Amino acid sequence: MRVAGKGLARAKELYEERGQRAKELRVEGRKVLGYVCLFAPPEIMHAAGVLPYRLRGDPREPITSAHTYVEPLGCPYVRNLFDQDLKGRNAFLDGIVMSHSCDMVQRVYGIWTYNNKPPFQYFVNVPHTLVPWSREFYKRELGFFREKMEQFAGNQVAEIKLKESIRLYNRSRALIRELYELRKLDPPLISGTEVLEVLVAGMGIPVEEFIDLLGEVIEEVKARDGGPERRAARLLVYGSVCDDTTFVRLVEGSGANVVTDDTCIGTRSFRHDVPETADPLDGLVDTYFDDFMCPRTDRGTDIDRFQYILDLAREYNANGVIMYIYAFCDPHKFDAPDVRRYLEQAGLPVLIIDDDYTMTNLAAIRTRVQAFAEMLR
Amino acid sequence: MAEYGKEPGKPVEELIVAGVDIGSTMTKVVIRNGRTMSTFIGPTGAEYRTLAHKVVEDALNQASLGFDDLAYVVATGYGRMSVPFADQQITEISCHARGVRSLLPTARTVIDIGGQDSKAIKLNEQGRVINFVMNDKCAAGSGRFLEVIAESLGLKLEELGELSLKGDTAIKISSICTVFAEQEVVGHIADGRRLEDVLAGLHDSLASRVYSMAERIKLEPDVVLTGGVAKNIGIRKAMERKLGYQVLLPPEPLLTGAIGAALLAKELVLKAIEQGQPLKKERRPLEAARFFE
Amino acid sequence: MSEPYSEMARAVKSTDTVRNIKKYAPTFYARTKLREQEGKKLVWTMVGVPPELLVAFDMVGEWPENYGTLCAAQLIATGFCEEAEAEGYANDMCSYVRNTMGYLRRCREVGGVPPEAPLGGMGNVHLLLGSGWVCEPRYKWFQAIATHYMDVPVFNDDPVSPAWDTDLEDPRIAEHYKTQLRATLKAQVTFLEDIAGRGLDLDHFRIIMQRSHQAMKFWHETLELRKAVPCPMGSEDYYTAIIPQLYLLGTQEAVDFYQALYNEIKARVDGGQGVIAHEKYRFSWFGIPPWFNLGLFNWLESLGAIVCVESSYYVKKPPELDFTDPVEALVDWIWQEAVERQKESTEVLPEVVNPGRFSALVGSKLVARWIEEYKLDGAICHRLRSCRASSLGEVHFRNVLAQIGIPTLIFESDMTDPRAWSDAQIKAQFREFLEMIDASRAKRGGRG
Repeated sequence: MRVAGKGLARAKELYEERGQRAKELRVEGRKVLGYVCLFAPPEIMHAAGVLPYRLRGDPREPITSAHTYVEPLGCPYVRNLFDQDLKGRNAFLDGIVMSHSCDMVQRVYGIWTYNNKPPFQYFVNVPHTLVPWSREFYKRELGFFREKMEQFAGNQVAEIKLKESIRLYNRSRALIRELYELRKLDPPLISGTEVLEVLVAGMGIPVEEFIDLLGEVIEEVKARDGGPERRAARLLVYGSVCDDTTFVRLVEGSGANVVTDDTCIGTRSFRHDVPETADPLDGLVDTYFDDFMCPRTDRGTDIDRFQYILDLAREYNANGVIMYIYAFCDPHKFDAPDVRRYLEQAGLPVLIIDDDYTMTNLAAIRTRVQAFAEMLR
Repeated sequence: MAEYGKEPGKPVEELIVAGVDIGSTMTKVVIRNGRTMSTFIGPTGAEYRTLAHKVVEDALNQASLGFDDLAYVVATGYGRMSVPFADQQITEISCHARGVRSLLPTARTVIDIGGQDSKAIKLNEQGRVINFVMNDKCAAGSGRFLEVIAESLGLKLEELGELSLKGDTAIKISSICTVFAEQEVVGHIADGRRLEDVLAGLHDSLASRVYSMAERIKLEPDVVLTGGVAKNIGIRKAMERKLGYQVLLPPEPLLTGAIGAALLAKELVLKAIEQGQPLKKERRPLEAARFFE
Repeated sequence: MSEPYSEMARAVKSTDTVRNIKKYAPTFYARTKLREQEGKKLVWTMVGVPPELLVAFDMVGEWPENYGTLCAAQLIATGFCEEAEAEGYANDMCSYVRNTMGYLRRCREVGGVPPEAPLGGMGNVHLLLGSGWVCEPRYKWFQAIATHYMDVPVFNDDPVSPAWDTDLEDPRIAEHYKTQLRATLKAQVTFLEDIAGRGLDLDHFRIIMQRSHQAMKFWHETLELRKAVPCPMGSEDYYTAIIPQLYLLGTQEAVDFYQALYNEIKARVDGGQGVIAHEKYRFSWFGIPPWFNLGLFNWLESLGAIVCVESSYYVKKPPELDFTDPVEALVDWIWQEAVERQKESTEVLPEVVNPGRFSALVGSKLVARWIEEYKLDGAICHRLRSCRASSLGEVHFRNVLAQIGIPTLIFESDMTDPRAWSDAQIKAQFREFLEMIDASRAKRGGRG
């Protein structure tokens, strides 16, 4: 194992090398599974001794191979993941696990596994409504997933092991929250770009190593001079999955600081710990089904369901919100007019950026973001 | 670097500043010399914006000024990032808003329809930007739409608007895409429909597309129309029908952004003087555009 | 051949039964008048919700999707879609949804039904009964209506469909899914009981379910008859004939309509009568049709091309059921069909558990089987700009069919947004497709 840097430098290296660490571990005999969405909880894979590796798209690479199998009129992020797979980027994996984050993922899962069969595949299903029977369904589904992981890894996932994994992941959540604390200051001590590098790096390495990395980063950031400059615009970025720093970097290069987010690889995944329940699956259901604020889950019709975004913005002293939404993302697009109305009524200006994941329309996006930053001066 | 107001014998009122609005087709320059203003409009130079600096040169010549006389240059518009000779880049949103605020202070909404895109800006009572929206990268909501149609019908862009007013019954153009709409228009003409009626439908179609984009920020009167397409009477009338009230027009709709840029340039200089801080200047010589995106 | 430059056209129907559908299904066509007279609670609902439940609770339904097709056919949808976009609903969102959101925005604007709304509008809605089947836009839609425009009760069912590689032979897995289906249907019943203020009358519901079963048998048999050469019924009739199946299941009207249609089609087949005398091309159709231009099918027929089978709204042969417990019969019906669909290979159609018991897309093995059974020359896929549920998977079909030497045309437009239609371009694509088939026949020497 080669470790060139520590802290932020290490995070950047892991971010840029895409799966390097996972590849090393696989050579050492660790089983590695690629997953797409947190509805297939990494805790369960970890408890079976598997390294969960979150699949990444590459916005710099236009979709080419996937066009042979799937039409362009669909989620550009999932199609990009599939395209990466077709291009052999996931060749080091022992298999993939996907889940019903949304219909798009389930459809592409079928086309993907039919046309480019991985050595192992599994799908975790997830209902949409927060009602007791749907929670029970998801709990049973997690039980099947645990069994499947046991068969796949050849390791029993005893309750005690799963509880230990949950504790470890909760430890990483607590450290991420500590890191986010440093963004509440003005200027923030760490940029949104750097935070995203750390979080994406963490999705590809064992949680034990991520915990160490977070510790190093926090220590380094607290001690360093020369973090982000003070900017009038302190922004919250709202969106689905942002697994690449291009967009946040553009925002931070346009006269604004990104101080928090409501995204999948962001506050949605660590704001709440998994409760340590007698049956560990109950805690996982609480966190991943109830508390995970993806708009794909039906939380009723009250507009106050968006209050958590306002709370987040206030907690981090954000004075504007950028809603960064991918083309064809129905769950987010249905909510967008109401999220916007809700936040604007509370005095938070909102900018909606509709993107195809690759930011091909870079100049136009930059103009909007710069104008938004100018507006908040 | 010249620090205005600090040099003896150069009162603040005599500041010379420039606003340069580099649009997709035209470059617009406004030079403010104290209270007087000179303006110049010239082609940007196809897609490569290679002529933008020429337009600035022409404008300076006309005003009998040299490039070094300019205390500060603010660039705006589609091509603002690729001109090396500006001191600062400010988006067209802020510049249009600033321009309209000085020209038509009652404005609460600005709708700008340019050659390549369109946008709407919401202003508060003080004229500050409080919201804005821009169209997607689609010619159907911009002046390009009319250009394409004029070209395929062999008409001059300038005559489209007037002709459309002579239509009795607007023929609905249903396609959303410029290429399809063009085929549809040609189809209607080939089918013997009156040109004026087809054009009336075409103007309605562009106006409703721009309207549904702009209405996302809740249009409020007074509405000011800016940009090259604002000069098209057909669009103006179609827009007024859609809104149910009259729209306002600046004296030269093309210049709003450049006027705003010049005003912002002056304000930046004055603010720097007031705060006693040197102004950040990134200007390089007056030369052709660079391409980094 | 010269044709006048055409705009959108309505379909000319071939069969008497479909042409006279208003006579067979008066409650559907007169519903706006009926609901005024009877003062019943009006439910906005959607396909995928078992229509039998509305019949059982004697509730009056309105279907915004169907209203969307109506607005599309009258070319009113363009205006409503633009209004929705002005409200902030993106233009890549479902055009049924945009049509409704635009309609509601206009209602808010004028403080009542806007004058351009067909049929005098969609009425004063009391509750929204949605379905999570097939796509997220469906439950997000009613959720958004209630958040954005009006505060009315909403129920969305939540039928979870297995992935294509899920082992439904494993009784634990089957029970796992069936439990969810049963729970969500029972919750829907409870929701309606609360609104209606009375329990579900099981004896009455049993009759309703039996009628529904009878109607679907006739309907499925009719679709089977379309295998005949020449084909006795085309899409221009099919896409109207689905109305009772989608909205009136459980009524006697639906039974009568499908029985009459079956008889008419059967007589045609027995007499060797087809929609067109000289069929040159037989196709299957994938995707929702362009509702604003169903005349497209007549145009295709003028070129000798007939569509014999459609994936959208396709119904399977209903299984034999025990109606003792009619709710359980409904659960069984839905589940048995889901298992059947899964066997047909559903890698691009994960949404097999449909409480409305029809298809959006179909499994790729069934697609291949249709080629033989319906003696098809090719497939036509309508790629819908604003509907992923009905479109994503067509490229996969094309690949599957290409392997058995069957050509596929994919053309792009939309179901309800006429702005996506490009007449000249689309028709040129169709002509090229037919010419390509001609050329490959000439190469092989004669037909097929």
